Amino acid sequence: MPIRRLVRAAVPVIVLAALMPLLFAQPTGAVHGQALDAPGVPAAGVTAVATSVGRGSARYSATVTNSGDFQIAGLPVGAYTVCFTVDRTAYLNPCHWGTSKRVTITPGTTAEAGTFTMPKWARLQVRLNDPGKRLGAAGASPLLVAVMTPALVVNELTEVARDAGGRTLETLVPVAAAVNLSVVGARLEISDSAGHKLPASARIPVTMPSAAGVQTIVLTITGGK
Amino acid sequence: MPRRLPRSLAAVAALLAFASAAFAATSAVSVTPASGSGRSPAGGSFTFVFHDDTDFHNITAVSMDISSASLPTACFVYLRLSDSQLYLYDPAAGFTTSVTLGDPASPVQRNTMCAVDPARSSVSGSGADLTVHLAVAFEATLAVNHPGTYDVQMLPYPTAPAG
Repeated sequence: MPIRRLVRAAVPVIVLAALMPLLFAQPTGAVHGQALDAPGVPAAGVTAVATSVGRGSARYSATVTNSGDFQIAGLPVGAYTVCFTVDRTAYLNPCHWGTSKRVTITPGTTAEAGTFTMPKWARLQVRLNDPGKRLGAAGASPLLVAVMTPALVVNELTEVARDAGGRTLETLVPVAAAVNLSVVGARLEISDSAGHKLPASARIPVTMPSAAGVQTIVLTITGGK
Repeated sequence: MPRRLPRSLAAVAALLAFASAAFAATSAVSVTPASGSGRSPAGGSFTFVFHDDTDFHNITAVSMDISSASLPTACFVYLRLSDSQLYLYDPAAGFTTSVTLGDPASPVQRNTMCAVDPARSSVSGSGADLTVHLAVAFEATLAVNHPGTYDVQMLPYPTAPAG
């Protein structure tokens, strides 16, 4: 009978299709770690992210639990770095302000990423007074205002306000951190709040407040183009 | 007494993990040559390739650091793509003044360890990949004072602030 023959023929195909995921499944492993707000205080709710090394960087994530632990499972074998997404949280990315952690995933095992202490942030603002309106003018000198983190990430300050007298730039820096603010304006004359002229490439030491707050550096563009 | 070969550049290996750690859809892909020795790479320049899953235009800046464990930021270059400004970092003094990449009038930038020639350097993009050619020469004193293996760290910066 044709229907019976059809069913008989279909059975091996169906069985093979059912086994396909098993035949071609990638071996996976997991990574475990801890994220702390302070020693003994979990940073619950932040998102830990494991990013595969190389082109196209696949990302896998898990939420840090109330105990401060995270476990990211289902990672195809290979090398990963473990960091955090910190958008709209009280923290900065510990991988930018400390040491990033790299783990190697092997089949059926859980790699240990260790403990991360999440840095809390304060605002570093630079008020750029620009009475001559030299910023943004045609042919204006490029200006770099940035903080380099210990992990060698260049944090350029971004504009958060603009008015007739100038601009306000800002970045987030760990509380109580001592950082160097780099100000590079090749063809601009820039003075600090005391009226001292800065060199073309200046490095201004800044100590951030010990709690969330704002540290403001006032600079004035006094000449140049 | 004959001078030893510049062992400081005995191997330049690409450590790309750092880049993937920092940001989402961007990554560091490769550096060419990936190893070598001497005061400058074969051909006079390094080629760095960065990647963004969507479009290379999403990369706003890149940094490239050729350094050793004992000498971080020996040759650290930050390149802002919006205005092609190149900044060489001097561990002792901070960034050197900015120059424009690819501009024949841009002078060579130096710190005590390396020199970068912006006029002979370039940046280009296609699809998801961004390619930076960087003409680099290392100072002779580097091999004498800081011999060893130097690595390359590459970092692409996406449109969102680094945070």
